[in-house]
Amino acid sequence: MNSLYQAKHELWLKVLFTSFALSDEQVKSTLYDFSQILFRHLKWISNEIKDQALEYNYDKGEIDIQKSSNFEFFNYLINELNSINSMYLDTPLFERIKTDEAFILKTLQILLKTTQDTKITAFNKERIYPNKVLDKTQTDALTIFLFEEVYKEYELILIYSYMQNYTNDITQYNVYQDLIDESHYHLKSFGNMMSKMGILAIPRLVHEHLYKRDDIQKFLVDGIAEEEGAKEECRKLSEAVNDEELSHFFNFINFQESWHIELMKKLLK
Amino acid sequence: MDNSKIELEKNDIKDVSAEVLEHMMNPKNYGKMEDADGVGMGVDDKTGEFVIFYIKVDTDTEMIKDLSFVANGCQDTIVSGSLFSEMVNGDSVANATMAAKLMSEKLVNAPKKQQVCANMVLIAFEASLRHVEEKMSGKDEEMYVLKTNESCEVEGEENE
Repeated sequence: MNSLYQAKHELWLKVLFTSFALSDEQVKSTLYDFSQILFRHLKWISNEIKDQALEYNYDKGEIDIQKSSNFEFFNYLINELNSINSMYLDTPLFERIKTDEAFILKTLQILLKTTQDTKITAFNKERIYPNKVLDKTQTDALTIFLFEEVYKEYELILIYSYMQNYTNDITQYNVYQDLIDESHYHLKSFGNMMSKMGILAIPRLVHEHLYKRDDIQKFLVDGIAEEEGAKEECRKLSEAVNDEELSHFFNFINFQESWHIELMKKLLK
Repeated sequence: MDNSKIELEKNDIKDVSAEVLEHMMNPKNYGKMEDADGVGMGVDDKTGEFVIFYIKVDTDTEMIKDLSFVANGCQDTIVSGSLFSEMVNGDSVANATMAAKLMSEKLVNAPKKQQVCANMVLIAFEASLRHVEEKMSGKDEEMYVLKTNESCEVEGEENE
């Protein structure tokens, strides 16, 4: 079951990061929605694994998403969807998953016939933010921030999901859900920014030391300190980029982090 | 062993060169290793950040057959781990240990935060070698853990 979970985890990332890599807003949006469906599948599979008193983890193999065109991405995802299909069992959950994925696959095949192939710029390393004038220092600061935060948001989604799966407390469950939803939004925002700058990369593996833990109190205390650190990074970046639109965005994220701290304090009580 | 890689460690990661960007986008030798001969962890107890090194050693020739690392840390840590692992993979244990010592000495001039993060990589590597020795002497532990002397929590001192 864990190998299926790992394959499903990788599939979610492949679809999610394809949505970041593409530039057509309508296709991006469609694929992002599909990635969210795949993430819900992951959640349901993890529930099933827990119910069967089995173990799962967030290990993943190397994922090469550096494709050069839209069509290369569509064909890549079609192959991935075809290969995972044989791993599914004959249960109502997997029947649901199979019908969802059949629809995603059909949509990708239609996109191959009805859209124009386009060159991908998400990995060209040019580090030029569209319609912004950023000097080298500002560009470097933004680059490092995006790498740190894309990993962090991905890590938080996984950690909170794991905690949520193993809690019996409804308040905790709801708080974790809020934090997961917020991190999805941040990951989407930062992933799309990385893509625009040509530096898109799949976040690295999250080690089980980070989510298989008994010391929840320490996790929360460390988490609050990290959120405070992220707030400070947002504030500093907002000042550094010296661009009204980007500064507004980073201030907006900064204030969202404040609410995360409140939510985590609620969990500490 | 390529000493130019050690020189690169003196650069501030906040100055993102093409080489640093490549290590950020595609960290080398990153990932778990299920059948490692040695597993070592360098951990900063204050922040909870850590690096785990996995190593396979040919005990007859004392050569590193393979290695990898995982980390919960900032980009300084990831880039340092990627560079160091790329530099010593396939080399002898003696050369790799010398490279770690040289890198540690070169880091004295680097920004404080970068020193601490890179040292966590080197400590994890040292711990992985100690774990190989421990296992050869019959001890059966999951991994060998070494704690960092200084914490990554050095904001304000960095990059002045």
